[in-house]
Amino acid sequence: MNSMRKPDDASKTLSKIGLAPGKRVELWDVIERRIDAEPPTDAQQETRTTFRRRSMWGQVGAAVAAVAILAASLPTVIHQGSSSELNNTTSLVNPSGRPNLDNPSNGAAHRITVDAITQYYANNHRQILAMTSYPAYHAEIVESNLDPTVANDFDWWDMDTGKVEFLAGRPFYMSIDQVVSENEVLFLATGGNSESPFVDFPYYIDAKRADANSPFADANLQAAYFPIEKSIAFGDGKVEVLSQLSVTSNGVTMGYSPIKGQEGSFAADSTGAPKTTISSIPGKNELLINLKNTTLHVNQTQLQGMKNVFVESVAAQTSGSDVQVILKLSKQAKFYTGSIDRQFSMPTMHLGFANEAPIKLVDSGTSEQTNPLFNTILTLPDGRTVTPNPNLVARWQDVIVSLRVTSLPPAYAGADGYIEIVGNHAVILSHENVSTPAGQALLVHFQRTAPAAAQSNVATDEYCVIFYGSEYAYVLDADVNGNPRMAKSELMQLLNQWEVPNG
Amino acid sequence: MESDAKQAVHRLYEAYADDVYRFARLMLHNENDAHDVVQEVFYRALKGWPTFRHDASELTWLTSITRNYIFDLIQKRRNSMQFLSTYTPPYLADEQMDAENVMMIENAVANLKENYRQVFILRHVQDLSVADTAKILGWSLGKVRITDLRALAKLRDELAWGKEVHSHNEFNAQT
Repeated sequence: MNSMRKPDDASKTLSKIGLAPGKRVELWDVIERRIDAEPPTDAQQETRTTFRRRSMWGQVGAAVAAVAILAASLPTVIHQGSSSELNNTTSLVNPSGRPNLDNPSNGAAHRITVDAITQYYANNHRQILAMTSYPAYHAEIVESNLDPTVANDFDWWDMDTGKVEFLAGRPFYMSIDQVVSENEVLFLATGGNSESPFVDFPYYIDAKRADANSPFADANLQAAYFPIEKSIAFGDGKVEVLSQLSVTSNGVTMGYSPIKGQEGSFAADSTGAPKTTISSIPGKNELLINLKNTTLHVNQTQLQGMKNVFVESVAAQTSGSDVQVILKLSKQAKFYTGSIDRQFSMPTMHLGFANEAPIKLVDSGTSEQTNPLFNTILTLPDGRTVTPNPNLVARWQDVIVSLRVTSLPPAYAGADGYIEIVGNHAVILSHENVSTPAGQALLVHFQRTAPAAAQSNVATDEYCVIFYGSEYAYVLDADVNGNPRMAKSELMQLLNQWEVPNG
Repeated sequence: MESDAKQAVHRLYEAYADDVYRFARLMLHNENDAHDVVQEVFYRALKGWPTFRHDASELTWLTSITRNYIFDLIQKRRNSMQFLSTYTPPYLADEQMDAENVMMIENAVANLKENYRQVFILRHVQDLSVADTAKILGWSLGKVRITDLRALAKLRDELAWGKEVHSHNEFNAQT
């Protein structure tokens, strides 16, 4: 007995513990049933999502060159229906939590309600953290969490069919940056990961699918560029030595090595960078890179004369237990990005600069020059902006707003020309003249019914404000999503920040 | 026909279900909770499979998921002031082992504080390397080593002092 009471023997004994054979089979059966009970969305998860980190050092030129615009496809048809319709329809979730979506009778599309989506997550023991409407795509993106200790998941719900697709999520901590199209959603990842202690420089995760009927099977990791004025923090809190500092063609590289005597410990932590904060120095065109708990071991004389097109000089100094690297930047340096390379025994951190904000590419779009007559913009009180792009839909208080530029109604339509602009399935409730900074516009209040295929008689409450230019009509669409009484006054306030081009 | 992800997770289950169960059982000291952990971990593995980048080994990845989930459960237990109240003897690969002795050892491990317990289990029961343990726990190599030494010393004390199972009301055997 005594021989068993030693840690070595104890560990040997405990290592013999395992699942009883019957229990092993039983548990897998339960897991399998749970997997099989997953709604269609998870079927796509079984398509392996590929993550690729694209090279961030040659991307700028291509990105800047490509100006993605949607001018070529001026929207002439208003989207049919909106998320607000969904609030009053019957729940489409069955007791198992799986939405009742399949009706083989005629193949017609079935709408799903927000309530049904909410119920779906409740039944799957997931907490909904955010639900964002994208009326232009008839879609909702739901951010949910299964376990507070892990990162959130994002799902794309097609409100017309009820189909749900996993976009991206665990283990990366992220937020939606931009819905590029119905087939592409761009997320900004914080750099943190719920399954590893590493904290990378923030980056984009670009979730894509081939078409609306395919899963979002591809997720590319892309470099994120930030204005020089924006502070960024990352790193894993390692205690290291800054042993290498050099300039590259478009930035700087820092290499880390172990503190003498702690090489063994460094080996375990070698795949990370020290806690790093990058911030601009007010009043100077300089960037301060603070490396927490780091020792400086760089030959100062080697720093002299280091420069490239973006960096005019490099200095490094000790500040308490930290190291500070100061980069004096040229006027060319307007944006920066970063990455941590952990593939080798000594981790390195790269900072890259650019003089233009890299524009996110729209895969399906062709690069064309923007017609200045399409340059209309709405600035929300919180600073967000909306432009005539079906990807850009913003919720403000009780309305969901979007902009479009469309053809002027035909002359023969006369005073009723606005009906052409409002579009199909609309029952006009009222119309009146309103003032905008650009001049008089027409405010139309109407209810829109769903198309026949939707098999729904629910109508949505909508407004649109039409400003007639000399060549185009500029339209501010507003779906009521909340208190209808407040919606109109909120919309009227927004008109003050609506800019339309002259001419 | 199984999909790729399901097939992969089934393979992981066949290879590592015992490891997940053992870690969960020794951390939580509850048979039913350990079974729940096994279910949840492999379900999460399936959900996370598309994003698993193979930076770490599959066992390290699974153990990380297990550890995260276990700590959530421990946190919930703390919040609800639940304490260990049952003991179910485990299935042992070696039938010659003395069940009472296993119970005493499990009790000794249960008496270790969490940090000691998890390091001891990962390093000596699961036989993971110091580097893998450091990765799973998010600790430095040095911290793993020091904690490990302290855990072994403490466990040695627990075992040597012969803290008897019967002296712990919360450790009543079920047969």
